[in-house]
Amino acid sequence: MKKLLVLTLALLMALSCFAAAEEIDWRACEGSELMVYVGCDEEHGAAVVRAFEEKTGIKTSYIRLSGNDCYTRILEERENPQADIWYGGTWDPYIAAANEGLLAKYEDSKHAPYKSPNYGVGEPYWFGIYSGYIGFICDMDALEEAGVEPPTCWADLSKPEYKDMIVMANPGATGTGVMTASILFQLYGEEKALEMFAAMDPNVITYVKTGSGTSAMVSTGEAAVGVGFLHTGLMYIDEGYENIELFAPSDGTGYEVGGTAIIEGCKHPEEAKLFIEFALTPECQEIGQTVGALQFLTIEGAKDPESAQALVDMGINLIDYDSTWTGANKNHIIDAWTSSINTDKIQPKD
Amino acid sequence: MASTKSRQLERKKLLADPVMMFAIILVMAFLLLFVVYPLFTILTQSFETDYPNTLISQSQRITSRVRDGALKDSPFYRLANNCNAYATEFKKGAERRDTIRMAELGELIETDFALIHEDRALTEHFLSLLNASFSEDATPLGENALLDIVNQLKVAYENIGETHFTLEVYLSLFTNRRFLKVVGNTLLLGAISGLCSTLIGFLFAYVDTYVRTRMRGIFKVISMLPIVSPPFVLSLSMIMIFGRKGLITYHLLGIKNANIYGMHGILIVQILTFFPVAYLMLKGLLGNIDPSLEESARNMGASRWRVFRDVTLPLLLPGLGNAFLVSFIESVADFTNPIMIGGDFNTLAAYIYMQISNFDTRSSSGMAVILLTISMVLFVIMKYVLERRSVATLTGKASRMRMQIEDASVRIPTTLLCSLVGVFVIAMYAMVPVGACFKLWGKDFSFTLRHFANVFGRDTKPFVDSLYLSLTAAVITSVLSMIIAYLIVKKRFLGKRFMEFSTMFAMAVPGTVLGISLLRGYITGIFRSGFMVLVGTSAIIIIAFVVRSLPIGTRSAVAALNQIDKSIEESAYDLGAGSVKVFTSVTLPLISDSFFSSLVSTFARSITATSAVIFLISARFQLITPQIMTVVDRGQYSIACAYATLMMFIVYFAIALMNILVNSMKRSRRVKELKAEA
Repeated sequence: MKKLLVLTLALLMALSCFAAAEEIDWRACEGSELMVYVGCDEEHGAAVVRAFEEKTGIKTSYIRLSGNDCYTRILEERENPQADIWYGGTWDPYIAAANEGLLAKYEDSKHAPYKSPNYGVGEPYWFGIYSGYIGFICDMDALEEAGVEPPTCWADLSKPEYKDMIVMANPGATGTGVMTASILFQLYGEEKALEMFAAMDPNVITYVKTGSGTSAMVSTGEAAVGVGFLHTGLMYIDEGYENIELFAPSDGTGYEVGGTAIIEGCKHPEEAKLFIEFALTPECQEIGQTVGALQFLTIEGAKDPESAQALVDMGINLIDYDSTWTGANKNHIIDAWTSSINTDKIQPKD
Repeated sequence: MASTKSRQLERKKLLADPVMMFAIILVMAFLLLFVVYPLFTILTQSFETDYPNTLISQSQRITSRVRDGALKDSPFYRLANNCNAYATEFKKGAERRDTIRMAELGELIETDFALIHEDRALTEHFLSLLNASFSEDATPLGENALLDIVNQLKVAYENIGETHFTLEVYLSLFTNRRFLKVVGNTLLLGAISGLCSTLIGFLFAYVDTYVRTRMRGIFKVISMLPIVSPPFVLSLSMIMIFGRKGLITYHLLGIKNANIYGMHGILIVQILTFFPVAYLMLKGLLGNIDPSLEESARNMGASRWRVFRDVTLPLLLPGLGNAFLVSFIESVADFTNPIMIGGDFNTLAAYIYMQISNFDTRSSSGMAVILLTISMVLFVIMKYVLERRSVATLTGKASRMRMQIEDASVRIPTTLLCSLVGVFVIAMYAMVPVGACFKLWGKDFSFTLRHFANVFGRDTKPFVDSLYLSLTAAVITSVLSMIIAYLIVKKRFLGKRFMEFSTMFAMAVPGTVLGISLLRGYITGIFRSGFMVLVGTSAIIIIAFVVRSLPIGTRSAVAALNQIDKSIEESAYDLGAGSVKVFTSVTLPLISDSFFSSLVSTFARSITATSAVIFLISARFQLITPQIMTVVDRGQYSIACAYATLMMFIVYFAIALMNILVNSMKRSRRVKELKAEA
């Protein structure tokens, strides 16, 4: 009897081992190491890296750089890549990097299906890990003090009552800025969009040089209205800035997909593949919301952060945003935008 | 004749001295490898053709315009698309590129080139379709422009594997009005900032040396503060005090739309950061003016104003010019302040950093070379025009103490002005530790220490790495600068002028340029050989620190060595000591003060460095300053303040420790001497 029990147990164990082998062997590269460029918030990146280290036993180091800096680094280091993985940050630089041949192909990823096919546009070069919308982040106290209502559509931003109240990301320096400009280009056509930016210009305090800078300036009271990603606004609300409220333009807005990718020619390709697999599990995706990264998640089975529900309840009007067009015309967008907002009408490069 | 002979003799003596030869070779190698070679890399890069990138950028000029499906069948679009793919494949490098696909693409490209060349009508047809689909485009594509693109594609395609000399980078930069405006901004800002810093610095120096005042304590604090703090703290306090929700502008005065973002914001911050340097420089000069010169003018009946105008000022003019240029160079190199409160006002150093991803490698190298040229011109004027004219030193050291002005008509207004500025500066710096204790900036101003806890709760790696790398750099810099100074002052050898120039020149290399050139020079090893791949190691960060601080250490050591009479060392030689023995037992003890001061200043400069290392940090080695920049970007001013406060404490503590050490060493030496005398 006892023998039989032992035998069945042994058999069961063997079977379960077999079953596990069918899936991913997380400890396959134990003791090895991995280098990560983190393009999203440091807390988010750090938490994911720690979780990955725990799960796989791979010693993982990371450094936080802005999205554009990650791209620049990888470009500069193309002949001798210093990192294996690029994690987080908006899709524009990922698209550019894939076009430049900086990202490695990873075709046989075993991840669960995406919630929307839009999240997988970068495959097999980069993978969607979260998504967010562009909208208006408003300091309600400041608006009330000035006696104005929060803006509800893009055209509102050029109303004279918002004079010196708005911050927007600079398309010349940030992906967020390029995306904001591109949304208006796609919604209203280039000519009309440029007119709108020109009309909005007197209301803008400054065009900030980083994407997260817009909500940061609203949180610190430096601006009353920020045009940027709504989920960063959510982060500040959760931090205690109750005066911040979020609004989505009723005439439509675009979304971003945050990415992760293996860097072409990297020194630890096997470990990097494991990282990608990990980044596309619900387990990893749900880490973000514990450290203030409140974007929508991309993988079936991953639970969106509760506060993000507020955005869904707002009923956001999403346009069919064409990221490929944005990627291919980035320089044109920047030039056209720059010449429209500067009074001395700088000539475009071409 | 005799002098040539003695020079020859000296050279022979040097050749026979293996230790000195080794020192010379070591220093030369360091300067060649880490100052000359990296700068040379970006210089050559900016004059080289980059055919793969030309293919990509020129083909995108066509593809970005095509939205219409029908146009995609045109040979032009096809050509552009294939050229883009061909170049992308080529750029993957010899080992990874897919040669079969490249050959296929090459065939297609050549067919289309032939097609376009043979049939003129194709061009017209394509253009009419293209410009019709793009009626709203501000810049329609003309026939010549299109053919020019095709021509450039052809040249680039045929020469893809080669590099030639070209001026196209500079031609395109100097015809780009946006870039020219940035250059203009940089020069304007530098000139105003230099002028104002010099004037305020002069006021402080004058009051310090000429006027009877009890404010010297404040002066000392003010000159200390910029040294111990990271370069961007004033921008931070500027936002917190004078921003839209600033403590003074909003909470005290109720101004609702204060705007500090722009040139005026950077100017205020830069002047406050740079004027203490001008003050220290001018103070030294004023102290050297012999009071009897001025007193004799006074005795002959000149008014105080007349003496100032006709005696003091002319003596000081080269010094003022010097201070102006030093502040100018610092302003041109300043990177963090324009990034933080520049708003739409771009300066070159910040522009390169922000635009580096929008341009190809050569253009950013070209921009770095232009930035370097500006600094270099200023540096050469300072070093070779102004320093030669310096007359204040002609009078030598002051023969006695100066009678200080006690006249109320001079004393009260100048002292008042200085105290106003002084209090303002100290308040700006005091904002940093105060700001670190607010619960939630802009919302809840109650006291908390949680931000300090937050800083310690994070990864401590940046702190540990910063300390370790800065200390290592401090030791290397101090040793190296003592050796360089000794060689420059005491020895004659081939390449001495080169050694002196390249050491001192590092002072004028903006941090951004140093960072980029070290990165580009060592990313795949020296001369792309795969040997000395320093990027990603701690060595490259240490090297950046050393190169930046070497001029300061060397300058103070040179000054100290010039004070030592040659006979002291000669007598040691006569008694049979070798050059090493003389250096370690005679020279080194005499210049130990400047050794320690270089140790401290390198440590302080390194731990607060930002622009030079922002491209060099890696996942293995991280530093505090970029960390603070990230936190500021997220609007977490209180955490940034907590970081900055800790940093200021660390540096101040290190300086105090070093001073105590030096003093105790001096005292013990004096005690020994006294005992020996007894």
